Order: sequence, then C-alpha cells, then structure tokens
Amino acid sequence: MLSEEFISTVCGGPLSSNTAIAKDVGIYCHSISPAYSVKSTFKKSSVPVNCLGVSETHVFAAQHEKAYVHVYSRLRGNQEAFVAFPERIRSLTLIGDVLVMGTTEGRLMLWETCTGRLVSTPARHVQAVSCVAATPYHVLTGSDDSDIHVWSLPQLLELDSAAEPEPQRSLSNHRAAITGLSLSPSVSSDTNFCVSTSKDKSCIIWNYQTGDALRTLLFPASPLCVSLDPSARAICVSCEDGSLYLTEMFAEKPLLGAGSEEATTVVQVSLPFGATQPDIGPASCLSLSYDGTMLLTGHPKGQIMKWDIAENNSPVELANLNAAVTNIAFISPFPAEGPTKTVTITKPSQAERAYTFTGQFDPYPTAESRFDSLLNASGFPQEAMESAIAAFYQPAIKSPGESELQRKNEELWEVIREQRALQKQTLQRYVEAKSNSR
Amino acid sequence: MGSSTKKKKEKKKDFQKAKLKVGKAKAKAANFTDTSFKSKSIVVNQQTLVTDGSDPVEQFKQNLSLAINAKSDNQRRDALAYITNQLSATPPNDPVGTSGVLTKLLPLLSNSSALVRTQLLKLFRVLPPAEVGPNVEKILMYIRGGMTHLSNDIRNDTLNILEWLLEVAGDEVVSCPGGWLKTLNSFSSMLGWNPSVGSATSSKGWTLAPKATLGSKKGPEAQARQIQVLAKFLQTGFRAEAPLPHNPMAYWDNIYRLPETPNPFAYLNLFGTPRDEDSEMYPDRISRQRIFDAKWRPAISAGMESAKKEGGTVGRAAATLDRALSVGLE
Repeated sequence: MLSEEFISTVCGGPLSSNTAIAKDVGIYCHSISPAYSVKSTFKKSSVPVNCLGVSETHVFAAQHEKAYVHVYSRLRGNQEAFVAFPERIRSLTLIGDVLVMGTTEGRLMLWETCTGRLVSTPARHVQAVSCVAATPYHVLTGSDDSDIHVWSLPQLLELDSAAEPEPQRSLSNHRAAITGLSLSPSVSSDTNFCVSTSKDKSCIIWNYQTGDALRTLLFPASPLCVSLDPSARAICVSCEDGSLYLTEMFAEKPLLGAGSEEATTVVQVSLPFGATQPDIGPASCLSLSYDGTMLLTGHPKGQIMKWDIAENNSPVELANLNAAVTNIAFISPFPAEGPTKTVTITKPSQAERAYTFTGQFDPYPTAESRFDSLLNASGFPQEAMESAIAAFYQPAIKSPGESELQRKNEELWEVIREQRALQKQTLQRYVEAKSNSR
Repeated sequence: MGSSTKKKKEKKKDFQKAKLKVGKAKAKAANFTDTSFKSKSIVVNQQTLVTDGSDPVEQFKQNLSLAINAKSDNQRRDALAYITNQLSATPPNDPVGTSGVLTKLLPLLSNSSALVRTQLLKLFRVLPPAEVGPNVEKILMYIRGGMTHLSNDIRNDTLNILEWLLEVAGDEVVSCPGGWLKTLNSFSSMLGWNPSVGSATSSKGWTLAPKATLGSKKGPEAQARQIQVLAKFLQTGFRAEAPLPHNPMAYWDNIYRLPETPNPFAYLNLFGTPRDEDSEMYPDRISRQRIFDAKWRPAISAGMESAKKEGGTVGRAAATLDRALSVGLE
C-alpha cells in the first residue's frame, strides 16, 4: 500500500513552551495518507529556506548561518555526518548523486556524494546565491544581486578541466533579489522553461536554454516562494501579505505557446487563490503533492496548512511544529530506479587526485538469465552447440499440401520423361531413316 | 508452669479464620485504607456572555465552542441560532469555513435534547450546498450512527437530516465510498429487514411487523417514515444520469488544465486503505443496481410485501417504495 510522505524542516528554537513537541527535533518525516502521522524525526538541525535535499537514502540539510551540511541516513534513521565547507551555505539542491550548493559569497560548490570530489567555481555572483535548481544537464543559480546564471552541469563536473567554469548565460531581467526558482520537468531546447520570482513583485517565465524571457507576471505583493505543479500546468506563488496565487499556464488565455500574446505583454495577477489568517502569517515554503491535488504550506509560526487545489476556500491545519517551518518536500511515492544505491556518503576532500566511487548494486534477480548461464559454463555450453547445429538442418515438413504438390511434381516428371523417351525414339528412327536413305 | 489454656487460645486465634455470618459484611482487613473520595464541580448553568459585538470572528468562534461545551440545552440552542443567523446573513460571515463548522457540530446530531436537534437541522439548511458535497462522507458517518441509536426521537430526527442531505448532495451521497451499502445496512437494522433472514420468515401471529426492530414504541408512523426515507434514498441512487453536454475542449482540458473537482483521483484509492465491498465506491447507476440486486433485493422486497399487507400509513409508504424500486431497477 502506497503512502504519501513529505519531509519538513524547522529553523530556530521552539516558539512557545509546549512539552508535547520535542525541543531539539529539526527534521520531520510525515505521512499524510492513509492518515496523518509523523513517521520519523532527525535531531539537531536548523535549516533555512531552500536548504534541503532529499534522496532515497539520505537527507542533506545545510545549517542556518553555518558552513556545515548535516547528512542524515534515512535507512538507519540517525545522523551520518557533519560535513564542513569553506564558506557558509545559503541554498542547496540535490541532483542524482551530486549536491549543488550556493554560498553567501556568490560561489557555487558541487560535491559528489559517492566519490568525495568537491568542485567549486569562482564567485560569479556579486551577492549570496539565494536559490539553486538543477536538472541532469543544467544548474540555475539565482542570487540577491538579481541575476540568474545558467551553468552546464556536465561541464562543471568535468575531470581535469583546465579552464575555470563559467556560466553558459545569464538571465538578468529582474531588478531586485531573486527569492524563488523552479524548473519545468522538460529538458528539450524548445519546451523547457523556468520560473523565477523576485522581490520586485514580478515573476518571469524563461526559456533558460536560449535565454528568452517568455512571460512576465506582476503580483500585488512581493512573492516569497514559488512551486510548479508536477506536470507544469500551474505556477503557485506565496506572497508577503499572506495570499496564495495559482496561475494556470494554459487557461483560457494561455501564458505560453500558441494562442498566447507577445512575450513583452505583462500579465497582472490579481485574484488570490487563498489567503491565510493574519495570526498564521505568509507561507515561507510550499509544495504540491505528486498528483497535483494538494498544496502544503509552511508558516513562520510553525503551522503546516493543507489546501485543496479545487476547493480552495479554507485550509486545514495539518500540524503545528512549534518552530518556523522553512522547507516542505514531498517524497516520490514510486521507488527510485537506478543501477546503484548510496548507502554511505563519502566526505569531500579537495586534495585527492584519484577518486573511488562507492555504491551498492541492487541484488541480482533470482532467475538466471541467458547471459549468466553462458558465462558460467566453461567453453561453449552444450545447449548452445546443439541449437546452433540444429539450425543448419533443413526442416522436413510433411504437410498435406506439400505431399500433394510432391505427387503432382512426380507425375509431371513422369510425363516429361516419357515425352523425352518418345522424342529420343523418333529422333533415332529419323536418324536411322536418314542414314538408310543415303 | 506449662502454658495455660488462655495462652493456647491466643496462639490458636492467629490461625483461625474469621467465621462469616449471613447478612453481615465481611470483616475488614487490619491494614484496610479507605481510598474513596468526593469530587465537586462548579457548573455555571447560564453563562453571561459579554456581547459587545467587538469582533464578529471571535464571537462566531465563541458561539461555536459554546454550542459544543455548554451545560444547558437552552444555551446550546441559542448558540446554534446565533450561528445560523450569521451564516444566513449576506455575505455569510463564516471565518471557519463549512468544513470546520461541520466537523465541530456533527456530534450534536445525537444530542439528547430535541430543541438542539431541530436547531441543528435549521443550521444545516443554511449552509451553502456546493460546500457540503466534499464533506458527505463525514456527515454520513454520523447519520448512520444516529439511525441506529437506541432512542426513537434521535432516529426520527436523523432521518430528517438524511432527507436534507439527499436534497442538497444526493449524487455524492450514493457514490461516496461506503455511501451506498453501509447506509442500506443501517436502514435494514432500523427496519429489521435482514438479508440473511429474508425469505425464511414465515407468517406467525396476526401481524407481520418484524419484531427485530430496536424498540418500536410508536410503531406505524415511525416505520412509515423510515420506509418513506428509504424510498427517497433508493430513488436518488437509481436516478438516471443526465448525459453531459458535449465539451469540445474536454480532451485538452484534461491534459493542460488543473482538475476542477476536489479529490479527482479518489476512485483510484492509490494511497488509502484497501476497501472491502461495503465501503467501496459505486459511482454510477449500473454498479449500484447490480450490487443492490445481488445483496438487498430479496430482503427489501420481502419486507416491503409484509409492510404492504399491514395497510394504513405503512402500506402507503410501502407502495411508494414499490414504485421507486420498479422505476429504478428496470
């Protein structure tokens, strides 16, 4: 039976003295369906916004105002490592086995968790990197200096590259600090897009591979965070005044593609999808569930509210964590597929030249495949030889149609032989007659 | 000197058991400690609310909590009346939302005071119909509890509330998980038409009224009302669905737009507990007809025939049930 689970993190100490909630828990793993419950917790962590990375086996949490990343093992349920970095981490994201981090100095650091290799770029941003988003091919970094840089992930991870890594392009239409960045699932050069929100009350939809700004949305208040629907059908934005906006991409007036207006036309978004009560406060983080029907928001007073996308008048309070909620991430209900599983991570060390990859293969399936049997036999196995030789024999099919045809064939051959014999005889007589007449 | 009889008797007394006398309490042990206690509580029968009308939101919430926690029935009824007024004002002043109101007030369905129950029904009638739909499962749970309550009056009032629910959200009632079969189960326990007994009843005695009902004091009218509401329920369940108008954009909307109904993937039951036959969803008319035919038709037909033979109000109600069945199952 599947269950919907999500992970939430808190930052800072408990807001009110409540002995029911443990004081030092920093990361919660909740399960929503069939019934809400907290499945497991991790202690001693204070995670700011945009600093959580979750994989099948580990949880990576950068600490608030510190140059540490805490790594927790989901398989064992305990803390696996404190990893120290040269600079304070401001934002973090996990792509495959690589942890991409943006620092407060404007640098980008990449840590391969299975080999321990650490790659860092020079500071290409003037201020701190406030949000990072990645696909297997690109990394996007948004910073407080209102720029978004697009990097190529394979180029950053190249071994022994002499040149210093540079961003492929820079998206600079925004005029104030970037607060949120979200990428569409598509990676082709025609249909990819990314959504960025900034403190200048705007949200721009870009094609990050060509660098074009496709659409600009204006909000009445400054947006704090953004989330895309899992099928990229809608953009969900939470603003500073406590209201939530849900903009559909392909509604009656589509924002992108055929049927939409020119890219320079600005769209005003004015109708909020929902608003929180003033005692709850604006949502500092939000996330949509995997089927796109449920929205979860985390608030600075500790509440996690659940909204239904279609029936949107009043949210239900799911939990109160008694500390500011800073990240909410849904876990995929489907098991991850991949050739290897990371059981323990390798801490980064920049001095090494030779790296070793540490991972665990999935256990072999119990049925022996043809390859396994060929491999295990010495020389050629008997069955392979027999099947190869048998392929050279003609098939002796004796179907009724064939035998009929064969009989008719025989009869015709008989007729031909008789005719030939007759012809020979006549020729013989003719030749005799001719020789006699001479 | 040797030990005297007095000393011997004293030693023997230690090993003698005390004789128990009939009609007298057993002797208490020597180390008996009395652990009984008295508790006293202060009950404020009529709370004096300072209604200075400062904050309508706060007042609404205060009345909501008063409706649940007040000790006196009159106060509960007044609190419910205030909430009803607030909800029927235009625009309705509802800071909690229909779901919140329903969650808090549904337990009052089986409240022992009749005034509270009638006021609750009036409140429900004021709720916006579109928002009642998503909460149907919760409401049905309490209605089923009310239908099988020991008290007659609560059962009757619950039938009224079921009637309201069928008017407002009939389709959701019969197609929500557990809505069709579990409600039929409660109807049968109320009327005594048990499917396992069904055709095995032979007519003994000069009245065929089933004796398995839960204490039918006011026999005929209550039973007639129950059969009437059952007929209405079956009518709603077997209602022919109107064909939807053709929407040329339906295919594209399914791909590119967000879903418009709440919880659109409920029929897949991906993340919920596996449902047994009783709590399964029967979203269309054909599946409801099929399961009704399989499980309930003999029991309800047998009960209906016996009710018709009774005559009077019960017979008339049974006739409407008969009509509903024949129309529905054709």
